[in-house]
Amino acid sequence: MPVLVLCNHCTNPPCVRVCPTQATWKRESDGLVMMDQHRCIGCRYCMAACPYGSRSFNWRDPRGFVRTGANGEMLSDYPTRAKGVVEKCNFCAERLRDGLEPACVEAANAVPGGAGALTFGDLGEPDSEVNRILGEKHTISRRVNLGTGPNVYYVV
Amino acid sequence: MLQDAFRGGRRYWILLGIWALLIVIGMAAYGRQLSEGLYITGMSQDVTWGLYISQFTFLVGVAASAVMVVLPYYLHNYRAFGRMVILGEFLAVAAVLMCSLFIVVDMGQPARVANIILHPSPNSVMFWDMLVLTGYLVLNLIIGAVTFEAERKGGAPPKWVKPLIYLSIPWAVSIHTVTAFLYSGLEARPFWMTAILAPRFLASAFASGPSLLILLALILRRFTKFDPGWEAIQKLVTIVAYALVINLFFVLVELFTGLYSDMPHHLHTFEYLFVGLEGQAALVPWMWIGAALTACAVVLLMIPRVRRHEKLLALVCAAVILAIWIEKGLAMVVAGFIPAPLGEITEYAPTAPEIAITIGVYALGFFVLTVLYKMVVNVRERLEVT
Repeated sequence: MPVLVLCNHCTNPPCVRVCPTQATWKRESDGLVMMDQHRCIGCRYCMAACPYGSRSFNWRDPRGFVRTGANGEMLSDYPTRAKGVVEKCNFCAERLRDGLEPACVEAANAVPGGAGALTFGDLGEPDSEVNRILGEKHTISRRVNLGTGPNVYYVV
Repeated sequence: MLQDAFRGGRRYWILLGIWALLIVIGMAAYGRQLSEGLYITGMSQDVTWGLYISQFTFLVGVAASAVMVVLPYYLHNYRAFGRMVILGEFLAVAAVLMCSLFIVVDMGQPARVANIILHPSPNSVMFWDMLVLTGYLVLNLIIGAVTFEAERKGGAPPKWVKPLIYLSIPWAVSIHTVTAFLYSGLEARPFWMTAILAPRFLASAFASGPSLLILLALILRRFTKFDPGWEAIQKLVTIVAYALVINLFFVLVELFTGLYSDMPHHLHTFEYLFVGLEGQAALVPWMWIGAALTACAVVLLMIPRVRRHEKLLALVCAAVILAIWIEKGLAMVVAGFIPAPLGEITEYAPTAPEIAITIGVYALGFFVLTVLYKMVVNVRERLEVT
């Protein structure tokens, strides 16, 4: 079955448990699994520990592959990262801060006929849209038997 | 003691020259890896650890195996190991040194290695592994240097070193246990997540480490005037035989659980290793070579005439080392990543620069080992004369 490779932002994330430098952590305010690419030593233990294959490593300098404008300027405000560190989906924390939705949610719902394909929201808020869907529809998550508590649900 | 490192014949300097050459080649390859990234290795999104971390795992076992001479000598007063024990301790020093280097060359940001100490994370097994390995290196350096210096001067070692020696015994067990916990605590990798991984690591370590020690002792017997002792070598052979059989038993226990339960997650990796999965079978020949070597070694070690034949014994020891190296230094780590979490079978093969870096690290370890053993030989040769 095809699945999204975004991070599940687990309730009990194994990647956070194994990180030897606390370069990845679970943010207390909203439960996002965050990543500090300036602290990461690139040992890739988190990649071995993630049961979802949701982490990736910069095997080489990614800057050579980032599209730039006509004058070589960066098209995105999001800082580029170095080689030798682990990357992961952070639910676009920098967009959430500005009141926007994650880029994948915005893009999927903008596709013709795609409205409502992805729904993003706060599971901690009882009246949120995501909790309404979870209450009404039948949903599944990936590899729940491992006890990681994935927070991405698939409506079936 | 150190001055003895500079006293040697032509063969000694040629040997050091060979190690130095390999180190330089390795460093050149590492320079490329530093500037271009780990992209130049065979590792990938699916197989994120390869030859480096495998060698680390194998060598932790070699380091831990020093306890197999330290324990009989110091706890049971087994005198025959009197001239062997320093060789075991110095082998441990060289092995831990290589372990640390293999961790560093595997890092994407080696300049930030201090972050492990600056941001201590007791929740991470890697943090504990760093602590026990550093501690083990320091323990063996102090114990080896102090006891050897005392012997050189013809006296007994100072009393304060005894508690350190006793501490080094459980400590040796801890380094390989914690290294197994790096893997066996990961719910994402069913192949590694088995309680018998730590016992298996120890059993295979106590087969491969003493085998290497026997080989080194045989080399010293042949090329120097220092003889670590035939009785000591024969006792090590007994240890190797038991450890190899116990390791074989552990592997078969593991295979039974996987094959009989028939659970896909347990089964797939074993299938990949021994018969191939979805047409991918890079490790299959290696696994069968390893199995054949193990079977031959077990049988040959049971035959007294083989054990007492110097050349045959050397061959059997080499077979044991190669078999355990295939198991731990080649297959164990990589196989944990196959199949990947999303079901793909991505194979791994090391690249030329990756192999050059690996050989370079080994050469550095053997450079240190050669120097340490040379000091032992020089001092012992002098003691024998007087």
